[in-house]
Amino acid sequence: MKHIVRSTTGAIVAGMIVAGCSTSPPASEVEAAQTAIGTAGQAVDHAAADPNVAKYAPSELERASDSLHKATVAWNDKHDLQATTHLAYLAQQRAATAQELANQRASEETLKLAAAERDRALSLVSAERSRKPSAPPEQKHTEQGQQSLAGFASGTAKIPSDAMPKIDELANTLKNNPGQNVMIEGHTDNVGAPAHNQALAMKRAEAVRDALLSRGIDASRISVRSYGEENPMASNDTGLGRWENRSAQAIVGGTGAGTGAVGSSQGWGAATSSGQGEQGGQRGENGQ
Amino acid sequence: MMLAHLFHHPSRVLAGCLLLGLSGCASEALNQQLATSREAVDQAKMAGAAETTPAEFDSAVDKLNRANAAAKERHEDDATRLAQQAQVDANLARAKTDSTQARLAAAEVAKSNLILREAINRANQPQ
Repeated sequence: MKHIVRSTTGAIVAGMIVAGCSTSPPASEVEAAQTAIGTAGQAVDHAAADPNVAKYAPSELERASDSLHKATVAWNDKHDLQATTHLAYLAQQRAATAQELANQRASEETLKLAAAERDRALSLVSAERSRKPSAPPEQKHTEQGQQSLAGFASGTAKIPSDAMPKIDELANTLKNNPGQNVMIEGHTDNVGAPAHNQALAMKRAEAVRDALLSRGIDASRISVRSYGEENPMASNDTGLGRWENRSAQAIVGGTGAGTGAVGSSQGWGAATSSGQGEQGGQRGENGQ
Repeated sequence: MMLAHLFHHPSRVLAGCLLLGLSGCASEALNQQLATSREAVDQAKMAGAAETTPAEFDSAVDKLNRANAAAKERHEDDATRLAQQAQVDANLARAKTDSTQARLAAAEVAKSNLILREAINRANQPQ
């Protein structure tokens, strides 16, 4: 190319080069060019035949086809092996990239469906639980809603990160309904010593209370109590049931629901000091 | 050949010069290509391609280095080709990494669904 430009008689030189191209290149070069174009062509065809590629990565496929076309032109018009193999390589890599982009999107669709299935299964679990007779006794007719914050790790009172959106939702509900209060009940599964679980459940309830306080909910509207391992939400016979039972239940209701004093633990006083929970850590639920 | 027409008109010499990749006036295009390729390599690295697809990723890094070296030597054509190949290698490495991660994530949720289903079935059949 540079030869053409440097010449003041560019048209003539260009004509000479084009003429030169019409002589047959060496057989080895022909073969190399055909192999490069053939391999790239297969990759592009393969990608083009995948409906997901057409659906999810059409522009990358187009770039691959474009490079393949240029490779063919570079060979047919100029017998430029270097440019041909280069462009064929670009076509091949772009076709593979298009395929991967399509695979990625297809996996993301699968993931979306699987996540929807999981949500359906979890709501099934939740519906199952609400039919059980062991529902908490202080559900009152003033109750507006119960939020289950399940899935605490065994032996801990750290709110599971996937329960955080529910806490936000709960805080918003309380902000939007200033006349309502919330009762937070801590629960554990049945692994470990009851006394320890009593303290642990209280800590879970308090963790939720603190999260609400940090979201601007007034302390006077929040009550906490501990059920320990009593009144389980679900059966402790299964891993899933125990997972559900390692929870805090937030019950939002009319003025009646939250009238207990903050930290109220009537009937549970002997077992709910958090100091005892720390000491009882060895024997508690965390053995699970 | 169309390029030859450019030089019949003096005002088109500059355009022709850019088009043909003459040393001195095409280096801007080359610099741009080098920057684009560098960015593609960086993004592949951020996606974790160095661990997931080391072959493609290392190839991209190697070609980018050689492209930069060729550019310093004023081998514009070589530099441009190496940079373009570095770019497509990096893009492929990144796409492979992303698709692997998406596939693993989907498999993980599918597996946990299976466990969940089994747990529900067990819960529905009192022991």
